[in-house]
Amino acid sequence: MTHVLIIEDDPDVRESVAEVLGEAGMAVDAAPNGRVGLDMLRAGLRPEVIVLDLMMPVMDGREFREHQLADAKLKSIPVVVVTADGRPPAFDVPVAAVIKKPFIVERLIGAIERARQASSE
Amino acid sequence: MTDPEIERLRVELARERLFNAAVHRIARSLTSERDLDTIVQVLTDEATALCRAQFGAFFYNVIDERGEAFMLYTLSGAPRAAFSRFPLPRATPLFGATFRNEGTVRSEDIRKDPRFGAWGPQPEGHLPVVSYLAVSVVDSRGSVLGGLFFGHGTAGVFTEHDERAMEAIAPHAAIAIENARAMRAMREAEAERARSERRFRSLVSSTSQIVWTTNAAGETIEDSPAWRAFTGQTLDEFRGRGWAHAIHDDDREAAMDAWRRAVTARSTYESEYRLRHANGEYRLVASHGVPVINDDGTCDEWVGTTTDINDRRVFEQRIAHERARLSKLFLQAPAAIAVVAGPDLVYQLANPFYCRLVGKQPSQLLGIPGRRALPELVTQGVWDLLDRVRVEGEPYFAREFRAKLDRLGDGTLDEGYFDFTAEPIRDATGQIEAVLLFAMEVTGQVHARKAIEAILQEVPTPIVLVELDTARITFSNAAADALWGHPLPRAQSASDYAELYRAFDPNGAELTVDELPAVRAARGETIRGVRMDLDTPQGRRSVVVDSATVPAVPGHPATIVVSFQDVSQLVTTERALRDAVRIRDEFLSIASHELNTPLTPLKLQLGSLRSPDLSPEKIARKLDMADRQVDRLATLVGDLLEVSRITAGRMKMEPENVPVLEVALEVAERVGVGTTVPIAVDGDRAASAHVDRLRLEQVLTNLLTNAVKYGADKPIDVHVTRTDTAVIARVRDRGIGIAEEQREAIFDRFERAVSVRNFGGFGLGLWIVRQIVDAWGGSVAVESKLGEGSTFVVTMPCAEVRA
Repeated sequence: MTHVLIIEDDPDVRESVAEVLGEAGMAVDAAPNGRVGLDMLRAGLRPEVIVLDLMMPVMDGREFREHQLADAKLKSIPVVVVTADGRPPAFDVPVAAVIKKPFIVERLIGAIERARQASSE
Repeated sequence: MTDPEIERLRVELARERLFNAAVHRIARSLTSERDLDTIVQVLTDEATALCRAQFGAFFYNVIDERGEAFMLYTLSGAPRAAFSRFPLPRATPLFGATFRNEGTVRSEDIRKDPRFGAWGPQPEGHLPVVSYLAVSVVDSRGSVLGGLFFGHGTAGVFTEHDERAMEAIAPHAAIAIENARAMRAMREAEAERARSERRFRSLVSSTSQIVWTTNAAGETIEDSPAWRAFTGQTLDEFRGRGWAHAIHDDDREAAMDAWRRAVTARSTYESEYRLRHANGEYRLVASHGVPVINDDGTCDEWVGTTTDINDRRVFEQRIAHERARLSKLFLQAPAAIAVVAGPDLVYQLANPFYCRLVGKQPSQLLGIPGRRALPELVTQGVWDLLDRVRVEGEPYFAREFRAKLDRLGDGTLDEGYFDFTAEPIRDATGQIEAVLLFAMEVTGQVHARKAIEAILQEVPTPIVLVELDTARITFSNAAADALWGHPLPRAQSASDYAELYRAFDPNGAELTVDELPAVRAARGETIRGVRMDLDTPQGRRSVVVDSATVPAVPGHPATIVVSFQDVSQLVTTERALRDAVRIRDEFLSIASHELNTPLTPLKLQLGSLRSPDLSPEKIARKLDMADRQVDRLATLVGDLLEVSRITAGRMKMEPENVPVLEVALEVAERVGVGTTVPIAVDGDRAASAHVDRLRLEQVLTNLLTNAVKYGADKPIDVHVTRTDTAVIARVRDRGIGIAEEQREAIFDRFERAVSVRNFGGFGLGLWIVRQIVDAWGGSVAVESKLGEGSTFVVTMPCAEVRA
């Protein structure tokens, strides 16, 4: 069972993504911003893949990713970015995939599985 | 013959022999020695010995300011120190006769000689002379060169024979002295000439001097290597009169005539002719020869020099040409030149241009004091000014000096402008003897410039004229003065600009004086469309600077026209446009984000509805979720439409008397539905505002939604009060607050006090609030403290009271 952490500020998006991934048979944890997500990871949570929004209050996706990469215990967890920004994401931090909102669930699941497999090889 | 007679003759013979030997020695010295001092010394020594004198001296004539005196030249038999106290014997009765050539003086005992009166005891320290013999030394023209004086301590030493012997020697002395003097003079002249030549040679290197000798007949016997090197003649060609063949055919006859005349008269030979150089070129040379006169007055040799003066002549011609040019320049110069001298400033010189300039004939100026010649300038201060130059020695320069002259001589004064200088002229001792005036009339140019300036004055673009090089401002038009807020100081030196003008490049960096466009233009740069900002009394203005150069005309230096086009309005507009574009791009980005966000759950939920075995509860929840996203989208679209309506001025407004507290309670209840944050509403229940009810609901909904969003889940208060003219609603949260510098910006379209990343929402709400409140004639403001929350204060017009 694939274990996923969703970091997303919009409650409706967060809830819906968690729901559909759960329905697809994944184990899902959720955080409303980067800061909470980071705290959960540092507390010992070890998802196989992180689904990360970019525009978030408190700590945005980029900052979260920088902290994650700076942490030896966390940096190997692959990240799939989901963003609603209309402009091409000016995202210079390496991630496994970028998916633009809105998206169909199959795309997200595919990206998560590929990221999981790539990181376990 | 008797013995005594024989003895007398024997003595006579011995004397003659001595005499002859002495004369021979003297003659030899005269021929062998060319040094005047040595000749005279030998002569004095021999003569002294011959007449058996204890002391012998040669004094020669010198004329000093007290009259005639005699200078000791040579001395024999006594140390020179014996005469140190009497360096210049006077023409006393004793000496006078000799210096006046009144015949030989011989005295047996000078102390007792009645001819010289009371000679008395000789001055202390004087040579103890008793026997005295003196002969005059007279040259060929009969003038006294000096005298030979002999003395002895005992009486009766000098005989008649001695007298004759000395009289025979004296002419020899004269000739020797004359010769030696001539030689010395020639040598000195030659030396001077050589010095000049050397000096000249340093200027032109090709000069060479040729030395030659000829016999008395003017024929060359000895070789002159220098001559032959110059002419390329062989020794045979050169010999005799062969040298003359090297002279140019046209010059030969004259040169030879001169030579023949000189040889015949034994006078100095001077001639200039063209001499063929070994390279075939004829060069102008100057030949100079002198006869060498023997002691017996004969001449058997000529010595001479030939000098290449070709370059010197060219040089002299050039100097003469320059001099001629100078005087021509002076007479024909397009400038007026005059010299006035003395306390009365008398015209010493005035060139034709000057005469024309002042409208006078030379005779009306020359020799006439300036104040009388041009009385009209007295009251204009010109003569006082020139007198100051004469007295103080400081040159005076004036540009565009305005003077009125009576040029027609009929008493009417004619105004003109002149550039002029007045410079002191000093004599050799440094005293100022005159004042040189150099004037140029620039009336035409001044009038032309004034005409141009009159036009420039009317041009709406700020224009400044600056002088080339100096960057001094010579003119600024009204628009320029208005731009800077004051008339620009004229003729300021560029170094003063730092204090007068502050300019900045478009990035806000202050320009140094050297970077100022006008200063750059004065250095010769062409300025094209340079943008800069200026500090002026009206605030900072943006200008575009261009420059053009007006070339110099006589009397007028080149001028740079610098225009400063005020583009402040354009710059403001440009900045506003850029901001608008930036805001629009940002809006599109935010809009896309905000619209995509609700679409994400909508799409996911709709997608998952396709799964087969869903419970009815699950389906209902998914549909609720989807429904909520559609509402969110509808609100977003509504806000956008609102913005568009307001922007287009199509906001509908139907004002009526509205009870504000009642509306606030309704809105608080509606907003409170989706949140756990407590919202308290209180205040003046009777407060009624004259507003559009639906719009008031919209305003309060916006403010309360924001308060919930940014209120950090802390209680929110709404408080309604009223004054005589207004109803005031305050919406207070206890959240993050708004920084002071952002408090105004939050009411702008698409602006949010917090960064885009941190909070969602269009940021249109507060803008819409302000548009609505402004339309009522009310106002909205914010009071806030960071970290303690914000209070939005809406002031609305009071309800209209029915009459």
